[in-house]
Amino acid sequence: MIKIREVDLFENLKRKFDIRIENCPRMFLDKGNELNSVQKDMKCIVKREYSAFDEHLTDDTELKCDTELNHIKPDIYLLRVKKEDIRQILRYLKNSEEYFFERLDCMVCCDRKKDLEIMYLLQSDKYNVKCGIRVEIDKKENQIATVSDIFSNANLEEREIYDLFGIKFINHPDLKRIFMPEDFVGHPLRKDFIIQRLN
Amino acid sequence: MKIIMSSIEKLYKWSRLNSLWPLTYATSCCGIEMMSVSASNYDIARFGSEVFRGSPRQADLLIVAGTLTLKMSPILLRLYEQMAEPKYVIAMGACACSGGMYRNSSYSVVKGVDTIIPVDIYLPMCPPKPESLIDALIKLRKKLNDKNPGGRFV
Repeated sequence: MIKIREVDLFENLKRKFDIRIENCPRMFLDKGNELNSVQKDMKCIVKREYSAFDEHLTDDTELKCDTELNHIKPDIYLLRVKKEDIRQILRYLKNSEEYFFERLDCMVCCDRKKDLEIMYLLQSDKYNVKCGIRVEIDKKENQIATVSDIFSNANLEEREIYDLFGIKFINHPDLKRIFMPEDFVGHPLRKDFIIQRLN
Repeated sequence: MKIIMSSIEKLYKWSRLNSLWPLTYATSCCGIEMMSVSASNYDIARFGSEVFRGSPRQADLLIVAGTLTLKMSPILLRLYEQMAEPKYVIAMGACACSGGMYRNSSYSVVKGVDTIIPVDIYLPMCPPKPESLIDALIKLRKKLNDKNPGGRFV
């Protein structure tokens, strides 16, 4: 049957920073497929999670699933980190050889009424792993350090978040509006923004 | 003298109605319909409006095809002001007429182009079929023919 092996990918990171893992990917492998060494290291193959996922799983269906899912099904890791560490953590994840999260896919911002949340979505092309890093931002403080010198495409993403949510990015090279006109008042995707209605 | 002037006016009117050159201005899906109007199947050239000009100086007709956002509105106003008299405007599509589905809930869309520039013909649909754009053009021609709007060169 399937070899089950769980590796904590962020073991080293946990030792260095104060992070909390919120979600771990489920990956399924065909029993015929041999893993290469990198995949073995990066793996958490969880048949037990998969059976929890589907209650009606019998042995036969399991076999069927094994033959169908002969590729690694990627999912996403979610980490929650502290705001002060974000630059160090991103730099570490980008440069260290065990992760190689070299690409910042996008930045997601969300107004959760009590606070704001930014998620950095990272992609490791070498190991085919995705990772989302969540940061909470207090509404009174309303600012965070920029990462545009680490990932250069974060420049435009941060300008967009500043435009629509009003979060200030410290040390950003060119922080101004990108979608709305320059003389626009307010930040439209905030929950407390009031849309002018005509009728 | 009166007879000569009136016949010249008629000539001007006839020539103006049959050469309403639109400006190439399209911001969203209505622009696709406008393109198909100018293509061979519907063929707006039958009404003398097939010449989509790239410059506002050479255009007589501004077809505002598509959603007008807040950031685009000063550019549209400038294009309209750069057009030479006499100039006519067709607001094409629900967004250009009133804001359409963005009217009540959008922060970035202008609620109707008539808040910025005067509009002669409204054509509300989402998006209008090519036939209806031809219909709007014919209605505009009728309007010009009936009312004899004051152009500077008559």
